[in-house]
Amino acid sequence: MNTTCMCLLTKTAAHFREGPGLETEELSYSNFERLVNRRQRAKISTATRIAAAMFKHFRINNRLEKLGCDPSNTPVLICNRYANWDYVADSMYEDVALTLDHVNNYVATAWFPATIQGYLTIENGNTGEAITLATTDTEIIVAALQSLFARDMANTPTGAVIFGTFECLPGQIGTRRIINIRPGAFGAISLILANDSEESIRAAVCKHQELYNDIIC
Amino acid sequence: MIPLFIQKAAACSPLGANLDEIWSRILSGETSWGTTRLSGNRNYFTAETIADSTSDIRTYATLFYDAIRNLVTDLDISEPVDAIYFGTAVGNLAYLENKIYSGSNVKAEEVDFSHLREIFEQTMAFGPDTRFVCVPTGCCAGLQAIGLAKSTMRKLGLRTAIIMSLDFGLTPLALEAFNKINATSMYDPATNGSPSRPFCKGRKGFLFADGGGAILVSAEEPSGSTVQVSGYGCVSSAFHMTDIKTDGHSIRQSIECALAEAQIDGSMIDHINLHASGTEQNDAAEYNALIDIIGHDLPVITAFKGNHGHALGGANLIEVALVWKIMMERRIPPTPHHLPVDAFKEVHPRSEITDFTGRRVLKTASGFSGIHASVIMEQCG
Repeated sequence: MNTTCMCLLTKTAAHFREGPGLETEELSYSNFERLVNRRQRAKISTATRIAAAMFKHFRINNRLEKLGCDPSNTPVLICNRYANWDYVADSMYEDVALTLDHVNNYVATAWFPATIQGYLTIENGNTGEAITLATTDTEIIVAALQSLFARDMANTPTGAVIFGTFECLPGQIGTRRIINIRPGAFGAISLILANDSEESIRAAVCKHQELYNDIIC
Repeated sequence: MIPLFIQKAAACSPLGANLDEIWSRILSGETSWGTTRLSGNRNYFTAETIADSTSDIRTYATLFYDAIRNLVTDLDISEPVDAIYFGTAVGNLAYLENKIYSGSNVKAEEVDFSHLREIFEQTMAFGPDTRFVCVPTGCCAGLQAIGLAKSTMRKLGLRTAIIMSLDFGLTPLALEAFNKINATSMYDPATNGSPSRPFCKGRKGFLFADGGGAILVSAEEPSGSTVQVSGYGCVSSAFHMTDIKTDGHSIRQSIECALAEAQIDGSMIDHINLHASGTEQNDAAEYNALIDIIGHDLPVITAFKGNHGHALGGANLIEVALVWKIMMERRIPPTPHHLPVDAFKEVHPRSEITDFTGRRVLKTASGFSGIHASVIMEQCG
């Protein structure tokens, strides 16, 4: 049976929580940052840093090994709908030339949604299939998760799929506000197991989707 | 895994506003490239689907939405499909950048990739029960959308779907971001011929382009001759966000997965359509993967980015649509005129159209984040 780990990032702290009814563990922002590879911090967006920190804090690779899975070959499904606008939010201007002056060497990889799966697979040496989806359709996510399991000789699903949802919505891009939204940053990780029931997988997907309720007005 | 049967295909690219126009110019070996001129005297080599559209973001802002509607129209469907699988790298980035540069606030739904569904809702393709998913994984997004459709349609009870990948990413932010990592080239008047030179010794990175394509697929085999997607494979390189190991190991793995799913081996591949972005790393990696799997006697290879550049995620479905044309018309286009195609001795330039006499085609793609995907397309019926 899968469990879901969550992280909510505020301006001063990261709040980690696992499972229903469990207490939230609070980390200062500086301690949160220490969970992220120091050489990568400036190159990646907030949502990617949340993913990196959650992997370390919740010891995801250890959990996979305890489940008998190979962290270097486990499929990954990431949900990300809002790309990583926070990475360029402070460097966008109404003046195009000024904006271009502020484009750094990492914008091409940090902004787009698949940067999160890229970071996680590279950082953890994971060569499994990885995909990022942007959808509100719970059933497509459930079906996609089920399709990613490795198969044994009898075509029976085996192992686990790393399922993550990571978002960071800045309040504005450049000087322009993003309206109809409450700025926020959150992450969720579930290890979906091959022997999980469809109901259990759907429940995990719904937990991830519910996180959007905190940011969408 | 069920096969997907391709019923129709559509595309738009710098070589034409529709698939027939592009195909005709590809058969003639034509190439397309130009220049985007931005503030601060920044001039980039680009290939534009709509001529002279990219130097002014106000003109360019809504072309992505127009192209979605046009591609659906070109598929000439008579009733809504059960699902839309949409691959893209940068989505509506041009629209958003234009809003920021013009001093307008941005709505939350406008930065939401899942909200691109709204554009499809304005077309014949979308009905009350149509499902929508966006696969925003960059330059593999189109093939990943095909893989996702292939693995989920039966489970979800879906009969028909549109699989589309599209990018109109020639925006100031994207052009400068790619230029910063030397993936593309600044305009150089001394350059002779197209700057897109995959599998040529003189290649210097990719020619940034826009455009996309779409296929109408069915999970049920139609009557008559058609093309099916019989195999799909995708792996992560776990190596680098932008670099590819030139030994081709990860590309080989993705091809092996696709071959296994199609239940064939490398010797049964009759034609190959490569990602061939025009970077030295990509070309070497693809070449080494092919030599490992097939050996030195390679079947004929096509690589359409030499004709009209690299439209990021959009490129995948342009190329799938063109492979569908190869298989349906049984003709293989020549390599683009003026490209020497001289980087590897097993991969030759071809000046004439040749017959396609086989049944199976391998198509590859690679993207940032270390994603490598392959599909096997097979003649059936």
